[in-house]
Amino acid sequence: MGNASISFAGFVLMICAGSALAQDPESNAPAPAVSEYRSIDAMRRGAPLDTEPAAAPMARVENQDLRRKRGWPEQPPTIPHSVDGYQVTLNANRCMICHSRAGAEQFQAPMVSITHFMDRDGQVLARIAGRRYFCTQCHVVQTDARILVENDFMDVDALMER
Amino acid sequence: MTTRRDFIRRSAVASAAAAAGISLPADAQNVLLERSANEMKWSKAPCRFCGTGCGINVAVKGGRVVATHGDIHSEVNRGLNCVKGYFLSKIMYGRDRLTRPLLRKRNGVYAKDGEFEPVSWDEAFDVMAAQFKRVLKEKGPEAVGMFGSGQWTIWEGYAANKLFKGGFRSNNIDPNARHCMASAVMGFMRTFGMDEPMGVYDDIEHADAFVLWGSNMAEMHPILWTRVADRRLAHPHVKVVVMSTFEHRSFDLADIPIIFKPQTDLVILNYIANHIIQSGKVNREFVERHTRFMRGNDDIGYGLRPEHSLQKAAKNAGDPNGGTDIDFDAFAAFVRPYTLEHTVRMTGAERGWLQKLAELYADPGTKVVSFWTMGFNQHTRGVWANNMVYNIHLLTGKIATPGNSPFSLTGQPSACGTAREVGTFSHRLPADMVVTNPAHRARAEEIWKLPAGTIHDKPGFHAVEQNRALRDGRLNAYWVQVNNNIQAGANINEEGLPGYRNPENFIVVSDAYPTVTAQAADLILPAAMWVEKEGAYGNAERRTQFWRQLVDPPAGARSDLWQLMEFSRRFTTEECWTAETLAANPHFRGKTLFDVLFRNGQVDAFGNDQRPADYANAESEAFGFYVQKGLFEEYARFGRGKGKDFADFDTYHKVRGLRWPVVDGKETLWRYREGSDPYVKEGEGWKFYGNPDGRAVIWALPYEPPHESPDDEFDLWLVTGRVLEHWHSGSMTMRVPELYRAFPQAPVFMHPDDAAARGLRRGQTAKLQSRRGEVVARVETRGRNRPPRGMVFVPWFDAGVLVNKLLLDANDPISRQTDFKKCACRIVRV
Amino acid sequence: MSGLLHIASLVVHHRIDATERLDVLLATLADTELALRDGGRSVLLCEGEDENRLLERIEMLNHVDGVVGVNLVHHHAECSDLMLEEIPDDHAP
Repeated sequence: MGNASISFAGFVLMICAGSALAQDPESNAPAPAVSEYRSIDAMRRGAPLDTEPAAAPMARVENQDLRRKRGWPEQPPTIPHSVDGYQVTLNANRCMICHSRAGAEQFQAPMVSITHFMDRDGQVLARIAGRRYFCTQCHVVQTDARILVENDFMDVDALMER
Repeated sequence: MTTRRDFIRRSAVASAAAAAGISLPADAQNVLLERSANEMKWSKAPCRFCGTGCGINVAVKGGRVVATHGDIHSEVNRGLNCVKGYFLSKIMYGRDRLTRPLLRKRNGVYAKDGEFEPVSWDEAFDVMAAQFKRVLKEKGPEAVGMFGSGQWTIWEGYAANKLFKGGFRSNNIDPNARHCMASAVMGFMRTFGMDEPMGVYDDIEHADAFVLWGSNMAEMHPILWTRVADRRLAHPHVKVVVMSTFEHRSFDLADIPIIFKPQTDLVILNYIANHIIQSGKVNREFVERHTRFMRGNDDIGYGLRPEHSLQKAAKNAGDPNGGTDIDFDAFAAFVRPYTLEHTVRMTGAERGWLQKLAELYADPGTKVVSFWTMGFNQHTRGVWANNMVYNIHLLTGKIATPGNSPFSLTGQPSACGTAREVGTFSHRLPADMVVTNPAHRARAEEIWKLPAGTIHDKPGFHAVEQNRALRDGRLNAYWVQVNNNIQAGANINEEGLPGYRNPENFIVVSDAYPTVTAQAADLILPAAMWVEKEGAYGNAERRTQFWRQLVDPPAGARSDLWQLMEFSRRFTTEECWTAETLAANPHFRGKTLFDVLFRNGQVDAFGNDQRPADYANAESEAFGFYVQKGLFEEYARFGRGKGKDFADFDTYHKVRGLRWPVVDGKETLWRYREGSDPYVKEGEGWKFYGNPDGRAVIWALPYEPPHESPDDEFDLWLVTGRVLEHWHSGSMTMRVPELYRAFPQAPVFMHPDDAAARGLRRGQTAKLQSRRGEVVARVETRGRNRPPRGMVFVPWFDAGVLVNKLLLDANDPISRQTDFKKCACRIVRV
Repeated sequence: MSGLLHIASLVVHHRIDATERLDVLLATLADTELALRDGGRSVLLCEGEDENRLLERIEMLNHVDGVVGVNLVHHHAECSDLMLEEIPDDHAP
C-alpha cells in the first residue's frame, strides 16, 4: 500500500479504509506493488486485476442447529444445519420430513409457518403449497466464510438505540 | 346511527380491554389509536434484481430502510420473494459504499497511471468534460461512447440516449443488455417485426406443459418457478421438460429431463418442427392466414475480429441478417433431414425423451409454455434459436392465447423497460426504431425538437466492439454506468482490460461500490442506488413499475440521472454540432446541451409543485422541475398509438405496474390476439402488426457448430452462469452477509470422474486455463450443478474468480451478443 | 355478498422493546390493526372473511420476537350483509 497516499490532506476516510480492505489483512504475501491495477474491490483480496488471487479459504457450512436472530419478522430464517445431499424433487421433499406438522415434534424441528400452506389466492391447503415447495429458494445455509466487506444495515431495534 | 359492524368492533375491543386490564379511553367512539408519528413508512417498489419484477414493500424509518417484504398485492409474486429479494434492505449498506468522486492523479493532476484521490464533483466534471471535448475536437463523435445498463431506470436510459445520440451525436451508446437480451430482441424483430413477448406470466396458470430451453429458472427466475411448481404440483397432468447441457436445480421438477451437447439445441428445434410436419399436426389454417416463410442466410461467422480465420472463411459474414422468401413446402424439405435418429446422434439425448418432447408441441390439445434465457441468447446462433422456437409455436398456432406462450425470459430488471423500449443500443432509437432509417431519425428529431440531421445515420459500436475499439485506440472517452463490464465482458485479458488501461483513453465509471470495473477506470463517480432515487423499471412481461425516492443516498453520492443531466451543462452546441447545422438553425447557437435536451419545454414542463410533498426527489430539487415526469411523458410520445402505449406518469405511481400497450386505461395481456389486444380488429383472429403484412415469419435455419470446441490441448467445455444467492457480478449481494455466507466463493463444478482423472479432490484448488487466460478456483464435485463428463461450470459473481478471462468474445453476428456458454478449457492442479 | 365476516379481538402480551417490531408486522397486515395499547399489552382487532387467516395472524403474532402471548378474547362471525345494517348508536351525542 503506497504510503504517499496518506500524506495528502483531506483524504477521505473511505480511501484509507478501502485500501486497508483491498489488501487482504490475513494474507502473508507482501503488499502488492503500487500499480494502476491495484485492487480497490475487497472481493479481490488484494490481487491486482492482471493477476489471479489464490483461492479463498475453504468455507464450511455451519451445522450447529442454533437458530439465528432474524433482522425483521418477514425474513426467512437461514438454515442452521448442513443440507448436503438433501433432495427436494417431484418425488420427495427431504426438508418436510422434519419440518412438517407430523415430523416437527419427533425431530424437534420448527414447523414451517402456516403461511407455507397458503396458495397464491390465500386459500389454506392441507399440505405444503406448491409455491413454497422448493425450500432453498428462500432458505439458505450459512458458512463460516470470513466477511470481506461489513454491512451497516440497522434493524428497527438498532435504530431505536441510536 | 352506526353500523352493526362498528358496534361489534367496539364490543370486541371493550371486552379485550377488560380482559387485559386496560381502561378504555374516555372518548369511546375512537377505538383505534392514532398511529404514532414515528412509525415506519411503507412504500412500494419493484425488486432491484432479476427480470421477474417482483413487487416489494419497503419500510423506512429514521431515513434508512429497515425492512422489506414481498408485496401481497403484486400480481407477479403475491407476497413471495427469493432469498435475494428478502435481503434487499441490506444492499445499500455495504461499508465501502462510494461517496466521493475519485480521480487518478500524480502530483496533483490527472494521470492515467496515478493513484485514486478524492475530488469534488466540480473537479471531476471539469476533468471529464475537458477529456470529452478534447476527443470530440480531435477525432469527432465516433470516438466518444457510453456503456449503460438494463438496470438503469427508464428515465436514466432515456436521458443517456438523448445525451449521446442527440447531444454528442454519437451512436456509441450500448447497454449491458447487449450481453443478455440482444439475441432475443433480434429474434422478435425477425419473426414479429416488434420486440417483447406477446404473452404474460398468467400463461403459467393455464399451461399443460412447460419446456425450459436451457434456462435454470429454479435459481434465476425463482418466483416464476414457484408459479410453475405450483401449477405442476397441483395438476399432475402438467408436464415439465427441462433441457440443458448439464443437470441443475430446475431438473428437480422435471418429468422429462434432457441433457444435450452444447449448440445442438438448434438440432432439437428443427427436429420438433420436422416432427410436427411429418405427423400432420401443422395448424394449416393458422399457418396460411398468419405466417410466411423465409430461408435465412447461413455460414455467417462468429462476430470475431475480421482478420480471424473463422471470419474470413464465413461466406455470409457480411450479411448475417439477410434471407430469401420461400414457401411451406421448401421449409418442410429444409427440416426433413432433422430426423429423430439424426437428433439423437447429434445431441446425445435419449430417444424416448425427445419423442415425448416433440409430441407435447405437436399435440393440438396440449397448451405449451416455452421458457428460455441465456442458454438461447448467449449463443453464437442465439437469434436463430429464438426464431426457431417461434417456428414451432407458429406451425401449431400455439401463441398469444392463455397457456400457449413462447416466453422469452428477461435477465435484468429493466432490460425491457429501459434498454430495449428506450432503445439505448448503438443502432436503436425508442419504440423499436433504428438509426439507419431516415423516417425514424426524423421522428426522433421531431419529438426531441432537434435540427434535422442531428442524429447520426450509422450504428455505433456495440458492446464487444466497444472493448475492441478501446483496445485499438479508436474509442477514447468512455462512460460506464450501472454495470461491471470488466468482470462481465468476455476476453478480459485481450480486449477489456487493455482497452480500459490504454493510455489514449479516458474511462469514467459510475457505481455505488468499488468494483473491478471502477478499479480499471480513471475517474470513479459515486452513484445512488435503487430507492435512493425516484425510478421505474419494465419487467419481462411488459409491466412498467414505478417507485419513489424513499431514502437519501449517502452524502456525496448522486444518481446516474443527476450525473447525466449535470454533465450536459458543460457542453455547448458549438462544441458538439456541425457549423452547418448551427448556420441552418441559428437559434441553437450558444445553448448548452442541458438547455437543448432537458430545458426544451417538454422535459421541464412539470413543476415541483406537481410532486407529492411526502417523498424526496433529489434530481428535481437540483434542477428546479419534475425531471422524471418530464422525461417520461416526452418518451411516452414515441410509443403511444404505435402498440407501445403507456398510461400517464401519475397513474404508475398509484398502481402496481401496468402491462403495455395500455389503451384507454386498460393494460394488454395477450398481444396480437383479437379480443385481448386493442390493436387487433374484430374478425382478424391474430395480427402480427409489427410486420407490414401482419404475418409472423417462420425462418428456415440450420445447425452450425460452435466457434470453439474442446480439443486435445483444452479438453473440457467451459460453461458460465449464475447461482441463486448472487446477482450478476456480486457487487451488491456479496456485501450482504447472509448472501455472502450462503455462497462465498465461485467454485468450478465438475464431474467427479473428471476430477479423479486429473488427480483433483473436492475442495482442492485448481487452475482453469484457456487460450485467453486463467483463474484459480476450488473444485466442487457434489454441488447443485452436475455437469456431464467433459464439461465444467463456473459462476461469474466472484471478483476473485474472473472467469471471463477465459472466454473468447465470439458473438452472434446478427445480434452481436456474446456466447458465454461455450469455450474450451482445461483444468490442472495448482 | 353472502359470506361470513369474522371480527375478533386479541390481547397481545409483549416486552416493551418488541413494540416497534410488532408495529412493523401490523403495518403489513391489511386486516389487523392496533386498537389500544398500554405498555406491554396491545389490543388488536382482526377482521376478515376467512377464519383460517385469523388463525394465521395469531401464529404470526406469536412469532414476533418479544411477544409473550396472544389471546383470542372475542370472536364474532356473522353474515356480512347483516353487518352493514344500520342500528341506533347508544354512544351518539
